[in-house]
Amino acid sequence: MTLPTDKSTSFASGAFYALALEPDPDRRLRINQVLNSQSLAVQVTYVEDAEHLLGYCAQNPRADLMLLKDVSPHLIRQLRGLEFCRRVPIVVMTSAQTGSGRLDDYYRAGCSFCVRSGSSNAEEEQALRCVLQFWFSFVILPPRLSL
Amino acid sequence: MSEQAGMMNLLLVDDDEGDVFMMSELLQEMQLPIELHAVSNGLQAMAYLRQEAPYQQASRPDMVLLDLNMPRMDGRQVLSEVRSDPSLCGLPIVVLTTSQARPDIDTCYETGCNAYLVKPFGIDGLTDMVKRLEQFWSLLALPAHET
Repeated sequence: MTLPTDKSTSFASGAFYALALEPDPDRRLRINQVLNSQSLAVQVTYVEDAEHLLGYCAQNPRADLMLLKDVSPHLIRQLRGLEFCRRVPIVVMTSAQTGSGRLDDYYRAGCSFCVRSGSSNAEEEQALRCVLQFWFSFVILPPRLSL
Repeated sequence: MSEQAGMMNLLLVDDDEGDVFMMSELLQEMQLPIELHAVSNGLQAMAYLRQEAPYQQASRPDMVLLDLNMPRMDGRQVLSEVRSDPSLCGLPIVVLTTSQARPDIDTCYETGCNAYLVKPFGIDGLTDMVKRLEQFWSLLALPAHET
């Protein structure tokens, strides 16, 4: 399978790798802008859809964090079943309301955290900024597997 | 979230009384919407989470902050028990420890911790950590749970 990924490098010598399921070019641009505005050395690989994500993840992806938007809990479960993705933190940006059963499904499926995606571009950017800052400048990420 | 609207119900599992005291004081001083409960070892944590004596009246926490090295039952065992218990497996657990040893980081992510944090030194470091955590937590969408 050919994987139409788009690697957008925020910094040439990126220390971290993020994998984002994001088909929308405008949203990709926003993610890159947030990374650049925070001077976070993160290289983001974008995939178009769930099929490409699974295909990419089956091939030893470079990913310290996965950022997925409104995917199905089933997809999270499938990712957790892949050797390379078992330990990678998965953040789901979601419009599901706190307390909904869907959130329970996400957490049971192995997502690290669900984050409210916000109802406007500004809110979404703010959420992204906080998520990226938290994971890439604060959390100790899992050491990369060398299988 | 807990019964009080917007309050996060947080369980801190840590045998270091000084750390628990500082965390409790900080949360109070910063007036964060967090209701903190604390236990000092893994056995107590499991009893609390399962609402067993003497914690029959305890509400299920929205999240657990878990130290690793504790007497009686350590954090690794708690993580493993929670993840293998169908009624608890979706509970978000953030490891908060002094250990930066790779085997600990590996084990915790393998076992399913949601994030791994290293305890900061001193009150300034702790204040900074709580602020960052609160910023991130304010964005989270968490599942409902039975009490």
